[in-house]
Formats: sequence, C-alpha cells, structure tokens
Amino acid sequence: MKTGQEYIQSLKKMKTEIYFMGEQIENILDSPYIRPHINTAAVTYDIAFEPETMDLATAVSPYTGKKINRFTHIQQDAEDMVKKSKLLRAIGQKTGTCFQRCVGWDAMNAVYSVSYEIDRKYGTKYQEKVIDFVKYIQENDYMVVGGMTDPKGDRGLPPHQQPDPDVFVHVAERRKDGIIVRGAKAHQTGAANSHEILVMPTVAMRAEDKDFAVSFAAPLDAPGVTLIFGRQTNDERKLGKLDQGNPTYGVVGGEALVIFNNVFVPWERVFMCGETEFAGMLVERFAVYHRQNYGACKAGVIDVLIGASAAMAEYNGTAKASHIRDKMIEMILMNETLHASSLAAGYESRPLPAGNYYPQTTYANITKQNITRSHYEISRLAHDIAGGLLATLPTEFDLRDPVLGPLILKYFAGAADTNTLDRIKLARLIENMTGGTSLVESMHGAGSPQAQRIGLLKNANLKQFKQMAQKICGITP
Amino acid sequence: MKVGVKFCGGCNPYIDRKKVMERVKNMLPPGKYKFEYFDWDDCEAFIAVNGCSLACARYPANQKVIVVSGFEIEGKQYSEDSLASAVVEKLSALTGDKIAP
Repeated sequence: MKTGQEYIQSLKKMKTEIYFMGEQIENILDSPYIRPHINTAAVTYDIAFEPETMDLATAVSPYTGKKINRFTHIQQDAEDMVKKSKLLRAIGQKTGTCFQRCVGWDAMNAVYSVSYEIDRKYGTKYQEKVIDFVKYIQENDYMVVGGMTDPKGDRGLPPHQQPDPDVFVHVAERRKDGIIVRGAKAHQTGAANSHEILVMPTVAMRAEDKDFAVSFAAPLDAPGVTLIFGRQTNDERKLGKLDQGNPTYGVVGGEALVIFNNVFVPWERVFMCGETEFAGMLVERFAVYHRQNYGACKAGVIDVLIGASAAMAEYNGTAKASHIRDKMIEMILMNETLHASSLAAGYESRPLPAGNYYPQTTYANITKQNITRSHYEISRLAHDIAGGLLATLPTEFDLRDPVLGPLILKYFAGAADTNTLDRIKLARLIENMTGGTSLVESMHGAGSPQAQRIGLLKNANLKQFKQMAQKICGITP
Repeated sequence: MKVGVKFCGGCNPYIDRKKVMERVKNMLPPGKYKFEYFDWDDCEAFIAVNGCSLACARYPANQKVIVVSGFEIEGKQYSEDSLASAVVEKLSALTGDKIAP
C-alpha cells in the first residue's frame, strides 16, 4: 500500500498531457488549481495507515491474500458494502470535499460483474483480464478514474447515428494485438491526478452500436490521451488562500474532459468489445454502486457544513435562537437520512452472479435522488444561518492591507469573545462548500435525477401493492 | 499479549477515540502488549472503541471484550479523561494481568 506521500510522488512519473487556462500544465503538483485535489486524494491513501481507520480503509485481496487499500477492493460481502459507506463518510469529515477515488472503485466492481456475465454467455475471457487489471491496481495501489460519461452529442440519437461519432468513445479499428479507440469522456473526476482510467459505455445500446459497446483500461498518460481540466466556480481563488475556504483540499473533485485520439489498447485490457446487450447492464451496475456513495461521502462533507453552520451561529451570537436550532435540526435530519439510506443499501446488498456484492438498488437510487435535493436545501439553510456576509466579504488581499485590514476586522466582528478572522474563515468555508460547482456535482454525479426516478419506478412492485390495496378494501377476496 | 482493537466508523464522535487509545497504550507497561487493528486472530482480549452510545463497531464473537460507547463503558459513565484508566482496569480484570498504572 502507498502512503499519501508515496502517491503524490508516483504522480511525478506520470506524463499526462493536461491543459488548463490555455496552457499545458507540466507539473500538476505545482499547479495551484490541481494541488488541492491531489492533497484530497492523498487522504484516501494515508487513512489506510491510521489505527482508527485501518479496518475501514483496508481489506484482504481475495486474489493475492495481501492487505490492500479498500479503494482497490472487489466487494466480497455485505460487511464490505457497509464499510464502504462508513469509510466514505469518515474521509468526507476529514476533507470537507470530494476525494475522487470511489468512482474507479465502483467501476472495477461493475466491470468485474458484467465481464463475468459476458463470458458466461459468449465464452469470452474478459473477466480473467479484469482480474489481472484489478491485481495490477491492488499491487501498485493505483488510483483509477471511472470513465462512464460520454459527451453524447444529440441526446435524441443513438451512438451509431451521431453526426460526429466521437461524442461516444468507440472502437475505430480492431487489430490483432488490440483496438484503437476514439472519443472522449466528460466530467471525469480525479482524472488529472489518477494513474488509470477504466472506460465503460454510458448508455444502453442496440446491435448497430457495436463499435460503441466498449470497456477498457488505459493509463492516463497513454499516447493519444489528452485532458482538459474543468473550470470551477471561484477557481481563481486557488491563487490565494483564505478566500478558498478549504485551502488544503479545495472544492469538489477536480473534473476533466478526457480525450482519446486514436489510443491503442491491447486486448489484455479490453473487457467488453461489441457485446451491445450488456452495455445497459454495465451502466446500471456502475450507477447503482456509485449512487450508494452519495449518502456516505456527502454525509461526511455535510457534517462539516453543518458544523460550520453551527459554529457560524455562535460567532454571529444567534446560536440560541429557536429558529436557528430548528434549521440545524432540518440539516441533521436530511443528512442522517442520506446516510441511513446509504447504509441500508449496504446492509441489504446481495451477491451478483460473479460473486461480488451489489447495493440494494432502490436504496441506492433513493440515496442519490435525495442528495439532489438535500444538498441544495442544506446549503440554503447554511446560507440562511450564516448571513449575507457570504456574498459580500472583502477579499483576503484587502484583509492583508495595513489600513483596510483593521477596518474589515472591526466591522465584521461577531459575538463578544469570538475571533473575527475565524468568523471570516468559516464564512468562506460555507460560501465555497455551497457554491455552484459543489451543488452541480451532487445533482449530476452518478446519474442525473431522472435516471434514479426511472430506476425507482422500475423496481417498485406496483402490481403487488395494488393487490394489497384491493384486498384490504374488499375489491378482491 | 495481543489485544485486538476495533474502532467504529467515527461518524458521530463524542470522544476522541484515537486519543483514548493512545492514553491506554501509555498507561500500559512498554513492550508487554501488542495492539492489533486488523489481524484479530489469536487476540487474548478485545477493545471496541466507539465514538458514541450507538456502539456500532462489530467485534469477533466469543472474545473477552471491553466496549467503549462514547462516555460509557458497560453501563457506567466516565469523563473523557478517565476513560483510558477505566479501560486499563477492565483489561487487567479480563486478562488476569496485574497492571500497575
């Protein structure tokens, strides 16, 4: 297993081609825009060595018998699924933001399960390649991007009818030794500071979409791979410190557009190629794995937000007001509901045909559906509690000014015996945790809200529920 | 003597679980006890350190176990500062090992 420092050092060996603000970033460790996300991901490594989190953050690999970082583990039982939930909350409490690594973890489990089922139907040998890849990731303790989301172009057309086929990653050429792929994956969390990407199709497909039903793994510095790092709300604050709110770990995960420009992938790293009927299964499996997380990592992040709001109320001198306490209750109610459903998805998980465990689908969908509302509502309450200074605070540069600084501290003082600079830090934390990018991530990560709603209706046993009602009210005996 | 230690997930910590265990270790004679956080085979006793009264940390069955549940150990309330000495006292009783504070 790697420590956080060893992970950071391992990134120096990557030759990832990445661009931001019109320039190529030669050294991501020195980039103020990317460094906070590296620091966050490093926590997923260090946590495996802390005594109080070691059991949560590590597992024994069923392939090597060695102790591994849990983020590289194939889920073996319900206890693993529950530990996932608890681990993610614990890390969220430390970082106050997305720590990126769970996407690849879920992708590995989804691909592991589907490759087994493809092999069972077609006699292919995909799963043994998946296991080889998983072992490689475990032995090197690498960080994997979950490459799900294609740009998709015209959402009304299937992949094979797109005017530009590159809006879905696809096989451009099949060769004896592997495939050449083209296309892109959008919104790729942690791509800038990961080692590998595990690509999956993003929609269910028809027979004509054969070239688009592809799943493979590639190093992020493979020839032909280009990353364009995404803009975030307030990202130029990363050039400063205090105004970031969370200067060590940043906001959200740091997302990139990952472009595949005729990238060669050897057959050993291809886990699906043309088996269109399994594309939808892979999408759903990944999505459900990932949806469970939003009541875990976000629960931890929201714990921090709730704490910041409670502290802010004290700094404002409003903590004892009944309406403030009531708002705190609402925040706690929503957050614990999120975590409860994530845990339920784990406790009620069941084995897939491949043997690895899978969250209870309805509870996972509920978790994600609720975060799309709760995070916004909790943020609204945080804004309400904190006050208007979230929107109007002077900059840290003015705060440093010998004349302006004392004036800012004078006029933004809160309750007696509280430190005004601390009040400003809390306000910046709340402001940045509830700003645009972090909320959008909760809205669309692991699938947009409508996707969960479709899942909820699909899995609800309305026929039986109707029979129950009809029996009780005497329509049927 | 090998003592297994299991921490809860820490989602609702009323006590600093890490600090409590560090104090326990500092109270024990050096080199005599080995604390195991992952491989719990052959442990002679077990300490489950929970941050709150929910006490969700699961431990192997049929173990001699001390369960810390927030400020409580086996139904009795302690201050956070006195939890460690209470754990050491119970460890002594469980293992029959006379531990001088």
